[in-house]
Amino acid sequence: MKRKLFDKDLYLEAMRQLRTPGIFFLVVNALAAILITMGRWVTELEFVANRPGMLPLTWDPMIMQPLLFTGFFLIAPVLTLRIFNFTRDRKGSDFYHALPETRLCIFFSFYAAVLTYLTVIIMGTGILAGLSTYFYPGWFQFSWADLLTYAFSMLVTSFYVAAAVACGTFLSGTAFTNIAVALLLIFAPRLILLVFTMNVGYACPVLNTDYLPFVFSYQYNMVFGLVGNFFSSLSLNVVYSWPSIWYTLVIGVIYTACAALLFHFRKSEAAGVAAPNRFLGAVYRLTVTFVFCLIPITLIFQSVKGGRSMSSVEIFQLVVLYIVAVIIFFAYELIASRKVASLVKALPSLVFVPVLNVAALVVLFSVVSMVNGYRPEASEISAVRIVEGMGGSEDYFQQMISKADLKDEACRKAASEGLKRMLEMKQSSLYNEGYDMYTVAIKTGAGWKYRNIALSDEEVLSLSESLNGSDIIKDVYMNLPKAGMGSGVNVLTQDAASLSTEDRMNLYETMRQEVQEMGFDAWYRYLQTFYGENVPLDTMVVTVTRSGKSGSFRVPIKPEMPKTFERYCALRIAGTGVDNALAFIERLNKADNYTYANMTVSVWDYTEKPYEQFYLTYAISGGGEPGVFYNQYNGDKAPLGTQPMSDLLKELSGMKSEGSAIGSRIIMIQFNGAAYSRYYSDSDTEDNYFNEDMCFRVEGDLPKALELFDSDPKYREKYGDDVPAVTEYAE
Amino acid sequence: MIQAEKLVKKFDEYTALNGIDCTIQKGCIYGMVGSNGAGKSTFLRLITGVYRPDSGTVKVDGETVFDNPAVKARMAFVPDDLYFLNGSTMDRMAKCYKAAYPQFDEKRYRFLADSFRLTTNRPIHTFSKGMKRQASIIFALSCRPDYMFFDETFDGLDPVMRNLVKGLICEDVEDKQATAIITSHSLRELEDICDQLALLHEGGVVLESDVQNLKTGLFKVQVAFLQPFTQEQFTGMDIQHFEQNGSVAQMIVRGNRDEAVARLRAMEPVILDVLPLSLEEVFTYEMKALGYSFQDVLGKEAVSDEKKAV
Repeated sequence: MKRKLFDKDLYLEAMRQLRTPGIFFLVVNALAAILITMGRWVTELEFVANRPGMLPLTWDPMIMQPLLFTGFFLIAPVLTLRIFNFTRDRKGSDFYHALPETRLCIFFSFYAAVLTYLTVIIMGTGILAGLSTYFYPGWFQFSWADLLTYAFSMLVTSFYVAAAVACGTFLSGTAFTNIAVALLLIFAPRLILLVFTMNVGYACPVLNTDYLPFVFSYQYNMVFGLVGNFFSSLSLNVVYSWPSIWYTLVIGVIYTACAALLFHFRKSEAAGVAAPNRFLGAVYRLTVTFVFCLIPITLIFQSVKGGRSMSSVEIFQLVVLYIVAVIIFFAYELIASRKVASLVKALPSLVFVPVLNVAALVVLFSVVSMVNGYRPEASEISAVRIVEGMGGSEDYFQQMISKADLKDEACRKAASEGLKRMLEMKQSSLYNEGYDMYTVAIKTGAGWKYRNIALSDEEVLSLSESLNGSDIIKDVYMNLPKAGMGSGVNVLTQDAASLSTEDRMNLYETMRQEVQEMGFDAWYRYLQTFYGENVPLDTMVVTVTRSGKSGSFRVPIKPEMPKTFERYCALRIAGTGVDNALAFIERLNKADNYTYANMTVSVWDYTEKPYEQFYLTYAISGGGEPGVFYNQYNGDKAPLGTQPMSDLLKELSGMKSEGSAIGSRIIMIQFNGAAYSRYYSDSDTEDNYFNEDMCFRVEGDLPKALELFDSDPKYREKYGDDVPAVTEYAE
Repeated sequence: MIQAEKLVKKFDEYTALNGIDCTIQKGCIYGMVGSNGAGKSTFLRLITGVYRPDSGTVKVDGETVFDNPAVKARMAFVPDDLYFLNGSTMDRMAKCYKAAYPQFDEKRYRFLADSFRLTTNRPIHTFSKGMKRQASIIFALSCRPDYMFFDETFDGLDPVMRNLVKGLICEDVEDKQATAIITSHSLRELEDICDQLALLHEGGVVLESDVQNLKTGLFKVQVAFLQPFTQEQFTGMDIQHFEQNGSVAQMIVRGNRDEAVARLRAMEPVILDVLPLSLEEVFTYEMKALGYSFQDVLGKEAVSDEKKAV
């Protein structure tokens, strides 16, 4: 007896049918995974010889294997359209529907084959890209977690697209309509929602659209988020966003369930025809047209809400836009049906185009009226929360403080007055009169409403006092969330790319414990005075994600938090590849080979005692004449082109207490008998930019290490007496 | 047993089947004739579960067919418009059938492919129309079905292959008590293989009968008398058609042949011949009796083909 939902034999049959495109995409993606790494290696190879120090090249997984993006916009649609191509062909459709399988079984067995290929291609070649870096030991550095997140994200997006294409395929019967309906399913709902939200936001300055329920945010839909982000910020980092991944996965599951039902109820005779029935045909036609009509709808709405009459040019534009809409209406029908006669049949449904436009405008004006009609009195407000205004919307502490319910009369009155002010006064007047803009959540009845309000200085003060009077600030600052799997806490260090996730979590935990020892006042002050006396060695960026919303705070790594500082150094040294001062200095010496480079060198000393804690900052910037080095220090230029490294080191000995570094740097810290150094440069050699990150470890104190250098016969031979003595540094 | 009750299938405003009732017994070869658009293919697609009826039911051995894999596994359908996977060979298609049909008999597939002399590793798209049809028949028969459905299957087959296929169908019917439904434009094609015949017209069965009854129930008599005579002299005989030309008359008579001959002989004719009727003639007179014109029902083109074949 055949199974009702899945048949292994049918699944294998589908795998066979998809073999050609599946293997083709697999090979292309696998080659890309290998060749891109190799290409990067070959590109970098020519710089190696002249490099003063080389650490693994930090690599974004999206650059390592960019072809994973083809998963959702090419591979998923192609495989889905291919495996269900029988739904566009009457004889094929009859053949499959005559098979002794339930329709759900055919759908799930075939769909499983598509997902199998997608998984193998995307996850397989994603992992292959990571593994291919191991052919070049020490060259590349990347995060496996990020790579796997990126690959999984692309897999989920492809799954969602495959499901949407399957729905489109079962809702129509020709290749054109399959693709058109699938695109409508993927983009139309989100686009319509986005335009509506945008217009309401435009008409209601009181409404902060960032705080609408999550379904209104396009960021969660991975496909829309990627396209939107690409055109707005050119950033594709949404692929690492877990809320977006889960949201897309859920939508993918819903679309898959819809596709299964559609296939179950699909009529075999619908194959080869644009739409299964006239009603659906009209729906597709009108949706395509309506999506275009969002442009004139926006023009009309914003013109009316802007309180200005339309100019003759704008009216002409509107007329042209509606003519184009009508052309789109008929063009869709003509392409879909390929029959001129069908245009006549489609004509009656054209009446719905103005109806839909009017309905959309009615909805928009109603929503605006509803939003602007919300003007509670202080007595009607039960609580207020300050959501935005005192810190950034992405500030962790602000987010946490925003959960504090402020219930005193002054706060409720401030919220009520601020809201009315915002609704009644013009924006320009609000700014001119010095009101501060805040986003608050107002509770009247059961739910919270997020509104932008304009507050006077006195009102801000009353809110602050109310807030400071509560214990919430201390709670928020002192009770930092614990790190760990599934905690939603992500810790990054700005400079230390080589620290593992575990290292970063350990560092965060050390910091968390140290905060308890410091107490609220010291800890609060530490965060407020980011630079203070000492420039941070690094910055820990802690991002806490709760309920799909992320908030961050930055903790400077400075000697004022000694345990955290020491832990950081220890982790950096432990994480550094075994290197030594001699090799470091040798690499520094190789800098002589840079023919187009300038150097800037400076040393910082934290303490009175030499070499106890100091920074050596060494920067290389582009330019200069071939064969000549310039020492750019505090504006001075001195040729260094033929100078041996010893001269440079000699110069360093006199630079113990200098100030700022320019651009990139080497940092050397003597710490508990070990020195840590990091070299980072962003230099120009022969018109090529490069980045490198080199760490080394010096056992013992730095003068001793240099003594090693001093005594090494190899260097003696090379530099003779020019090699500086340890004593020169100790002085 | 296949039972259709008040079966209706519509395509938008067009009604392809309009309340068909019929019963097809197990072990029967059931022929179905009708003009284009009569509903033959639609009827087969409903029986095989390709279409879902708009109303009415179709049951096989008491079970509905639509989305019922257990019943469909016992069926094989050779449609008029054949489907093969893109670029596939017969062997590749056999794999596809094997994946779906649990009873697919590879041995029989090999045997039949050899019998039809088809190259199984050659792409099917390079086959002639007849070869493609042979291939699809092979796949259907290799599924070892209890119910076989052939839609215009003999079109495009040469006489030798036609006979071979008919033989194979008969073999399955005899050996396995399988049931077959064969549709065709050509009565002649069905005459020598079917047990039962049905005539479909505008989505309804206008005539359904046992082939043997059809052939023996009606007969043609040619009779001549020396004295003048009229049709009234034959009162009491069930005469479907009477045509007199001088002293010679031809009539189509329904009823017992021996009784009719005895009665005519008693009238001392100078000529008395009893002639067999072709199935087409039987249909013509039966349809006439029902108030239809056979040419209109079957389509003039089909009848003309029929005549040519005869």
